[in-house]
Amino acid sequence: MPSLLELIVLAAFGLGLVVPAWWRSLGKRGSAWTAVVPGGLFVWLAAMGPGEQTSFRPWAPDLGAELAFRLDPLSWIFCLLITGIGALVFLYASGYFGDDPATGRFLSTLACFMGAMLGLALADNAILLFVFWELTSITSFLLIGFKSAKEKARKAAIQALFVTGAGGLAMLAGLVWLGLESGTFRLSEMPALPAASAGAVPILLLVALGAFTKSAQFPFHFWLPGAMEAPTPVSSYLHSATMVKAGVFLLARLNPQLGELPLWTPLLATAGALTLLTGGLLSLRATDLKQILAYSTVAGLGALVLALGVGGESGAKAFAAFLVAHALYKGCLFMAAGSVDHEAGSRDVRELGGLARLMPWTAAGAGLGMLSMAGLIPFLGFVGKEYLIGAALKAPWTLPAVIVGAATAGWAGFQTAIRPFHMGSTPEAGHEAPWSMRVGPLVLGGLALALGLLLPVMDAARLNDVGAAVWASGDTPQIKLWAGINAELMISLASLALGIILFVTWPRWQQAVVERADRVKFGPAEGCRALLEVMPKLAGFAAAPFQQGRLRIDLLVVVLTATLLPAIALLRHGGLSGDLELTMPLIHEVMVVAAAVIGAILSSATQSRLAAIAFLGVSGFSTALLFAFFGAPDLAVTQLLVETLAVVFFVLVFSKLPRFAALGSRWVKLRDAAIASAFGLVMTALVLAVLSADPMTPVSAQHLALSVPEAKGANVVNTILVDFRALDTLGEITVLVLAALGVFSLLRMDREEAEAAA
Amino acid sequence: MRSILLAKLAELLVPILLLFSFFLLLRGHDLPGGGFIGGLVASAAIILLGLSSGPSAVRQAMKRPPHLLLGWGILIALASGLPALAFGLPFMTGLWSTIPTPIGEFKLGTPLIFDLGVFVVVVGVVVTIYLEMRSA
Repeated sequence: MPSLLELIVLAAFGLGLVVPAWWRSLGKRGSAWTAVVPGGLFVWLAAMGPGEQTSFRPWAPDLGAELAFRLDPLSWIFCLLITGIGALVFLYASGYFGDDPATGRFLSTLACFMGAMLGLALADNAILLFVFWELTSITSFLLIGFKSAKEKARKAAIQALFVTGAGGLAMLAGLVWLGLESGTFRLSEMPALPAASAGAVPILLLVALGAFTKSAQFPFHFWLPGAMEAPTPVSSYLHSATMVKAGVFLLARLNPQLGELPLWTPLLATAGALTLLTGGLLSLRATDLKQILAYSTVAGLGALVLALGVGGESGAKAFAAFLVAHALYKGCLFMAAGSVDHEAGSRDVRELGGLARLMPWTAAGAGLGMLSMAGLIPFLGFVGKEYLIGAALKAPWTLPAVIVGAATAGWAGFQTAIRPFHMGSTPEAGHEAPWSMRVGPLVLGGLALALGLLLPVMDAARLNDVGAAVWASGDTPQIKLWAGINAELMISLASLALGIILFVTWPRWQQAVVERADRVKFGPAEGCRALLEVMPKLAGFAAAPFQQGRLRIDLLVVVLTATLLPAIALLRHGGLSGDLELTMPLIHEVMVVAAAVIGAILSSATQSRLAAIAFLGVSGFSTALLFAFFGAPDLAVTQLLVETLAVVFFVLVFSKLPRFAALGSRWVKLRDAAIASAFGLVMTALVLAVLSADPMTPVSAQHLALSVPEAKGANVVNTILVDFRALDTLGEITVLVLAALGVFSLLRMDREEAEAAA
Repeated sequence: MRSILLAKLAELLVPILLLFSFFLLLRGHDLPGGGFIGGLVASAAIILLGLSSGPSAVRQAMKRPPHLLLGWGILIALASGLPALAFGLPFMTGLWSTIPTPIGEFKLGTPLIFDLGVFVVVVGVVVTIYLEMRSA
């Protein structure tokens, strides 16, 4: 039976599996009900509390991979954010998509993302964590490119996958190295990495590279604003509240192992501060609601990395408080922005105005989110900002970045929640969003207020426990709503004032900034785009000598390689040295071999294509007979069937082939004959060499001995295929499928082009 | 160019061949056969139908586009590795049980499900390529 933790992950993936059918049978009404699953998980997790739970199951023990899950305060708060905001997003998406026929596919991908994210938060094994990590990248790719007919969406999806995928590979290397260094892949059992160990610096750099790309840290921040091509439910869920926090989560998770390294604080604090600054400043040029929020999300992620980098009590407090505060207000504002786009048909702040009269509920929800984002007491955002400034005071050189970040965050909040709703004239058309899209902003905004208000009485979000999990000193920090009048409060108020000034003066400077920013034609985003363009060219350049697009040349290269490499290996190992015990062949064996040889010779000498195929068939069937003679009935049957099917396929293309002509000159023919003969000779020599090799225990004996007792089968060919080496077979059938898909799309493309031309 | 002889022969042979392909699949673990060979025989049967009655007859008989089988095959093969996890064994550990029937004991195991996945993939690959080439 699956454990409780496994059930949580399975429930999300299960939802992904059934949702298309669910949506088909219930339609629009059904899609709103999908929110029940994440909602139920949320209630369950909330009721369970952050007490430690573990579950274990072997997966591939030899590789260190295990299905180990663990719930602790850090993963608990992440799971609550994933399921809670997930429930609201599912609800929101049901209104956002309405009767769109693609809704089923969308909700299914979203549910799979949720499962991957929950798995990532709960994983207690480095390999397992990586698998879920990659799954979030892949589902994010599918969701960004969801409107796949739009070129911009496809490009943004590829860009995001490219950046996060590259980082993921680096992270895998780092995790494996860390696992080898500490002797276990179980995260909760890994000791702190000693700073003197050889791997300390590279491990930290590799892991940080993975985290920085995923969490859009400078200079990898550019994929996140690009990802805004995704439908808004995705932006508010993946690209603000959950997935982009995976990198931050990983750093927090590995804080006990890596946090004491001397490089940790400079690396993370610098990256965080730079990202905070970049995101905050770049947000000023944006006029699209979602772009404003996206850049301010970049800044928010930078703030979290900064908090982790500073570490200690203040860092832990800042991390815990700001993590939850940011997820709540950003999810809220994204949903509100999506509603505005949905109902008013625009996301450009220059065009929007006066919507509060038409959309009072959305305006109210956005207002709550804005107040939290600007950091007003008693909202949770105030607490987060306060402690963030506190953390920055411990590393004073990051203070300017934090002030800029806080000011621009306030500005972004006002810009997205005041300007479209309360300023300008009310348009005539437009109406309030459906109720399913009103709930999200209101609940998240309300929570941002309630959690802050309740803080003096009770720590409802268990922020102190989360802080303790990150702090890793054994003590529990005390997060307070009101810490008195101190330096933090003064700086907080100053940044708020700065934000208000930015907001009020915006009409005066916005045009100049936008125009100047549009003129900038270089940066990390352009670099990535250039790289993506150069790579296929580079690949084409490298492949050109080997693959010229002409089958004859390609074959020549393949055969020559397969001849020369074994030949060199054979010569270097002294050629054929061992003893060979040869038995006299029987008369029928000689006859069949002769038939195969004659068939091969005739097929290359004949002037007719049909005859060539027939003679090749003779060779093939003779080989099948040989297999049968020497006790390999499975091979014989397979060979026979493949030969038969090859004839059928040949008949299909026969009429489409060009004239059977002698294309090569005399010299070319001689060259090909020489290469073919050499290939045959080398293969023969290779087989003889293998047979005469030093008598090691061949693996076949082991397979034969174990076939019945271990794999419960008497046909050893089959037990190897489906039991001993089943993973290889799985790989092989995957290759088969890819080949079939290649044929499928090539032929379809050809046909569709022909139809389009006709 | 339809041959009445071939059509009648196919009518007779296709069901027998399909049945035979399942027989090959089931016996494969102990005797020559298995998912690969079974899948090839089943594809040959389907192609025989195509040769005698045309590709539209194949499309009709398959009900769903055959390229969907590609995904299903991989899924079945993957799913065969899961039951072991439920028993606390590593992924893809083969599990077997024998079911006594009046005609003798019948072995049932997860590797058989894996082989079924191979079978489905092979049929999907061959029939997909056949149909696409026919219409190209």
